[in-house]
Amino acid sequence: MAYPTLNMLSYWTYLLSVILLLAGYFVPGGPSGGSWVLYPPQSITAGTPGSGLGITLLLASIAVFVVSATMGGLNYITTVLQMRTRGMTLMRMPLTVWGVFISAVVALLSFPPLFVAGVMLLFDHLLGTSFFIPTVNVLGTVLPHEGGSPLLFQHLFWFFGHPEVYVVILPAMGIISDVMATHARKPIFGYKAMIVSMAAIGVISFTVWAHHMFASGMNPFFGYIFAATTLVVAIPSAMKTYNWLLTLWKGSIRFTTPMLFTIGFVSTFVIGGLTGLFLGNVAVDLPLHDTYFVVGHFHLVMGVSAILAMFAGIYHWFPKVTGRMMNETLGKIHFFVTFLGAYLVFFPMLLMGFQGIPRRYFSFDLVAFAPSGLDAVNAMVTVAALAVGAAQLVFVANIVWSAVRGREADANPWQANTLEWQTPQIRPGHGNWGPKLPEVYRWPYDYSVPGAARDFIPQNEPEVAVVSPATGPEPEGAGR
Amino acid sequence: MTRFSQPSRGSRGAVAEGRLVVLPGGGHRDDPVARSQIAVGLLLAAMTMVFAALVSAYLVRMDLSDWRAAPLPPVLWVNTALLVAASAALEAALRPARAGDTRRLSTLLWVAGLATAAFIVGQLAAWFQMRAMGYGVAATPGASFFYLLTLVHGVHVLGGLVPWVRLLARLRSGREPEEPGGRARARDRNGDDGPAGVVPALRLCAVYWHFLLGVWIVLYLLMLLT
Repeated sequence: MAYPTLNMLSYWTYLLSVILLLAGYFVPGGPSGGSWVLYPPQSITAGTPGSGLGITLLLASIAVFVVSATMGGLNYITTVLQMRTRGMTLMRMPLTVWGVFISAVVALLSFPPLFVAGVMLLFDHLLGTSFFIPTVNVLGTVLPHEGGSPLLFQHLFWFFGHPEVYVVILPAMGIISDVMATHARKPIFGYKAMIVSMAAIGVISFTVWAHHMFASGMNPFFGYIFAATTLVVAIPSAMKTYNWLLTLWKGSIRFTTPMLFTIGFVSTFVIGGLTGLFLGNVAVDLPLHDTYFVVGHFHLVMGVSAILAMFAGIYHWFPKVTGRMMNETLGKIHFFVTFLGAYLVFFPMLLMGFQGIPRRYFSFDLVAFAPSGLDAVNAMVTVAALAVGAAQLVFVANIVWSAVRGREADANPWQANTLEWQTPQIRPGHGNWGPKLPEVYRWPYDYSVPGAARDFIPQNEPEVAVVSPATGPEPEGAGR
Repeated sequence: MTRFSQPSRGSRGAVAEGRLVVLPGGGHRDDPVARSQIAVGLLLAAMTMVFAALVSAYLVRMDLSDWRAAPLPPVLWVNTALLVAASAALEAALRPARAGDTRRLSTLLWVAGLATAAFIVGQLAAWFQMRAMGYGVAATPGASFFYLLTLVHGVHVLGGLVPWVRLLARLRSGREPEEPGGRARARDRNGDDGPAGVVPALRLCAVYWHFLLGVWIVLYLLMLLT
């Protein structure tokens, strides 16, 4: 890293923010019940669980977290720009690194408004200011605030909140691209398009935030603009999806556990993304906004997809970290229960949302329009969720067992091209490479190159071509 | 003729002994100065987002019906002058730094640091004056913003004193800080990097101060004019 000390500081600050967050469980009144969006006035008004010390700790935790994320982001970006090894041009970087890089830029610019919103809400909560709190009458008692704007908080929050989902999904997209190319034994299709689309998603993410607020009574003209910018995100997302499908096309696919999770990601990302097109339209969003449809959409495109990508990454890089392979049978059980279970949990929610079943309800006894089968569907969702939960125990057991007893991995078990698999030791020591850094001669996706001896050529393998003395170097290979 | 592999994008070739050997191209010379410039640039970008969010919140809140501005304490003019002085002293310190005039350099550094500390004390005094005028933090929306903006800005100014202290320490010891991990410094020192190579760090300090001065002027004008 460019700044190792700053990196360490970033980690410890992050740990502090987690401790502050969890401390909420141990204070009088418990943790904040303001949901994850913390909308005022509800989040800081008496009557909401944790509206005393709980929300104070949560807001302090957010402020500390933003400081930590800023230090980390600075470090990632500077490292990528300055510390690449010889030969590692930007256009030879693995897409995972591109994903982390773009995600760090987006985080660096989108977290500050959350910091500001958190500090202002702390002022309202602790010092009695009225940035966000209007006149509130609680059971006949008028609170000391007046004139504040809850919508102002929503704008600041979502200016962070929408880029945030891309902060999570961009590294996931990078991981998926690398794991897919390796296990399909094919170059990633459209490498440059992948980078351009990730950058485009990063830029557009700053212009779409108000689509979370269509139901807040905004000027229809603004709704129109934000619907347009939101739907534009579909273009780079579709580019990525086509590129993934075309990477799989005619590949020598190895259905390993990481590859299964990768293909699962593409599936949930497509279903979740397509349902996003419904919600991006103001006219369609208004009836669907407070229904299960939003829950299904969000969890498929963000929750499940990001987690499937994390699993793909863990199964893929586990041999590098521990020197041992994870158990494939347990991995496949984990995959199929998680993947099918996630669909059983969230796909019915899309259908229930179309029926108008509202989200955030404690009980549906009084919802007259609820169809008769609702209870049975909800029960099925619960059973599926419990099964998915149980499958994660298989995963944990696999990790523990494999770390100790797993089959020993050789240096490059997936026959991958990226540098981390080419280190001199199987479990890289501190500094990874010892005194001599590797040199990079090629992009990371030279899989199944025609005429090559093996179906992969690591990035640090010098590029050598035989030249016929009569004709000189063969021309058509160049300029690819 | 067999083609072993296609040269990858961006590669350069050289013909040696009848073989085309593609040399690694586009490598990076790791330059600690460029690295710090990037990092400080990114830091200022993130800070710009902080203050942009604050200013836009101010403008939105200002349009609501109960908006009442608060009178600003006159000491703010003195504080502004102090911050200008600090910023100017850092800029002026660059010339003796390049010339190797350590005495003059450290005098100007001390002027900058003390003016900055005086600015912080002055901002605290402004808070007390506001309170004395009857404008506590929750008195009017304008007063609330006054405390909020000066607090966030002041914390960033205070943070600037950390690199300032490190700069002084470096000047006193006459040594450049070691690269982390015991790596040798990849960069040859330029002749005009000054004693202990402080010029690049000093320049970044000056940029940080100018930035916070600019932010302060924007915030102050915003509060004065509304």
